[in-house]
Amino acid sequence: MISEMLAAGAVLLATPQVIGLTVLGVALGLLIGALPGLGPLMGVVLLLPVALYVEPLAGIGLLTAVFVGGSCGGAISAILLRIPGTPIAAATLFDGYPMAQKGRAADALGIAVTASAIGGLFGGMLLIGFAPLLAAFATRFAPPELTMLGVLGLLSIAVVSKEDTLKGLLAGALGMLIATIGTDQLSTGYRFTFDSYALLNGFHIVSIVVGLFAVSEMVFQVAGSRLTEPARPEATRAGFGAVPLVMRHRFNLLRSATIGTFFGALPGAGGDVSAFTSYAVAKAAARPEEGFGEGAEGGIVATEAANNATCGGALIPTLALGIPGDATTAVLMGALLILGLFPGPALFENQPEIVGGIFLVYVLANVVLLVIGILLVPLFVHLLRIPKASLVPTILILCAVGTFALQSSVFDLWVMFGFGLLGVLLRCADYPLAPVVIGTILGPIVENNLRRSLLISRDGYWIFLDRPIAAVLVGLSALVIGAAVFGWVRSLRRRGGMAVTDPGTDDKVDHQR
Amino acid sequence: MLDRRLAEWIVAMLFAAVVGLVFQQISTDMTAQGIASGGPYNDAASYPRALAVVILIVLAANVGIRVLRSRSGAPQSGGISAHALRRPAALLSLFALYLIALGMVGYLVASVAVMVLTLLLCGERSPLRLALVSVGVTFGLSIVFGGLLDVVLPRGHFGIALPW
Repeated sequence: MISEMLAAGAVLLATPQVIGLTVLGVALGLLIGALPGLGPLMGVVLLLPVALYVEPLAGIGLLTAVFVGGSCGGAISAILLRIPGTPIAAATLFDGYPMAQKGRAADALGIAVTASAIGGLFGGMLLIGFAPLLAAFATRFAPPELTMLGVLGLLSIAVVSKEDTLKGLLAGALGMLIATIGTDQLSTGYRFTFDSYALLNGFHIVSIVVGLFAVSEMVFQVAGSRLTEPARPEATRAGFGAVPLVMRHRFNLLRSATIGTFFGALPGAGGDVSAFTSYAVAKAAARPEEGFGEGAEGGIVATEAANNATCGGALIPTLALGIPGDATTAVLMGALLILGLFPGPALFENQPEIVGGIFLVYVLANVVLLVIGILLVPLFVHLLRIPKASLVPTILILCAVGTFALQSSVFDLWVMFGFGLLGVLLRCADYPLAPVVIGTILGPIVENNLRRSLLISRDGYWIFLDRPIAAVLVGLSALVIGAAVFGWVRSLRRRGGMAVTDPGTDDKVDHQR
Repeated sequence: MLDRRLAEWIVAMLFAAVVGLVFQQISTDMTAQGIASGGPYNDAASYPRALAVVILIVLAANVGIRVLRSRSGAPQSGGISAHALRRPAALLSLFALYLIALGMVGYLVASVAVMVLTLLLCGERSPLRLALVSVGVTFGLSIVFGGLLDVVLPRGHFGIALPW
């Protein structure tokens, strides 16, 4: 089945548009990832409108490649500037920057790109191996299971997210509520439309995502200082000599890629958790003479292999179950939905060529990453000199044009602006933004399946406990809530204790949260 | 000073307003349409109502914790000074003006003007860079979206557009 899927996907892949946009996506992803403050999510968000204008696989290829390139690009600024371009590259800084300071910047960049590509390929192998199995298992799922799967996915993301669990839940519920605006699919009644024609189909997901993430990020960027001062990284050229350097750490590479894939597949965990975990594991397993924290090759291998393997892992639940693992895969899933492709077991059954194409495009993106990541390092280093003053207006105009391009609608632009304001407000109050988007995407799936479950049920809500898989998912959801409450009570007690002994330490706790 | 605590209260009020709006719409508009009751097929109000109740419960817990924490005297981290807020507020105002101007003077004029103003807001003073960045980005995006993707960008009342 997998080989047939891949063979059908290869036919779709072998077009100049798909291959060209994948290569372009990796290059843009590397650039966007390298620029401090941006990252793979921002890259995917900004290019989402473009992806909807080309063939489905070419569009998904572009976004997947941006995801892959962006997950590696953060290492460039972490190594050269000691500023991680993205949070997922923060752990790369521990050894990458000291290595560059010792005059081995080219080696550090080469190792980062090579480990990212190999880690990503390993994640891709696991994606190809496990996603069809998971999808095959999920064919047994009926509306009650799909309802609980959506609820569990959203709960996990809210609970595992670094910010406050309650705020994560509030943000997720708000997203689900936003998704109810428009025409109800079952009763065809109008909800929260206020007699406005523009609201009959609700808000476009791209307007929401661009506003929440991109516009709010630009507002936060201009609040910073020294916007016109360009960074001054040293000119560096990486080489393919880094490949044997990475292969010296093959056990570390394999272990870190496994950790990365695992955390990627776990909703809510994400690349930063996987990078820090694999770094900690690699450091614990290393010999003292390796000098972790002082420019160890193994440190860069661990973090970069893990954060790119996370991409493959995150695509497993997204494609097989229709449950995005993080905000970036939520946006990717949104793109699939707009293109008329519904992630989940049905996609594997009805359009295996698309699934095979996505698998192959992901693998291709990692191969391209290895080649152009190393060849184009001098270009990315040069582009790091672009001052933020030039980036902010460029991104804002791109947001506006991209959102307008969707439906040639000025209303979409104001929706984007409104969600930009909401994003600023939520970020000021330390609310996570990812659950809003994931809630908006999962909301209709949960609602439709919930109401269908109740339609087929003879005992109302008991249907969720009568069916074994649904009951297990209910149990898991209860466990997630229980774990959140337990962690919450424990943190309250710890805070209470700290407030008594040393009130000044609360600031530290808040920052670490 | 807009500290995190104030932002949290504003967001809490926003959530409360959203919950109020949900119940208001259910009791008026949805009831009038006949979709606020009945079986799972016809009742389109039960799901948003359930979400509103969840929001209300979680919000109450969240606010309760904030109040307890503020009573215990635990300091709050974060916060943006009023001075630092000026530039973000100006950027948002400029962006809103841009969205209005798009329909009036079209993409090309509005984009060049807003880019120059945003660059100035960010501290850019070099006339060459102001001109190069604003014109380059505006025309570059026009080529990508208008030329390659066949998007008809806003032309405004004067019909100003590049020839694609």
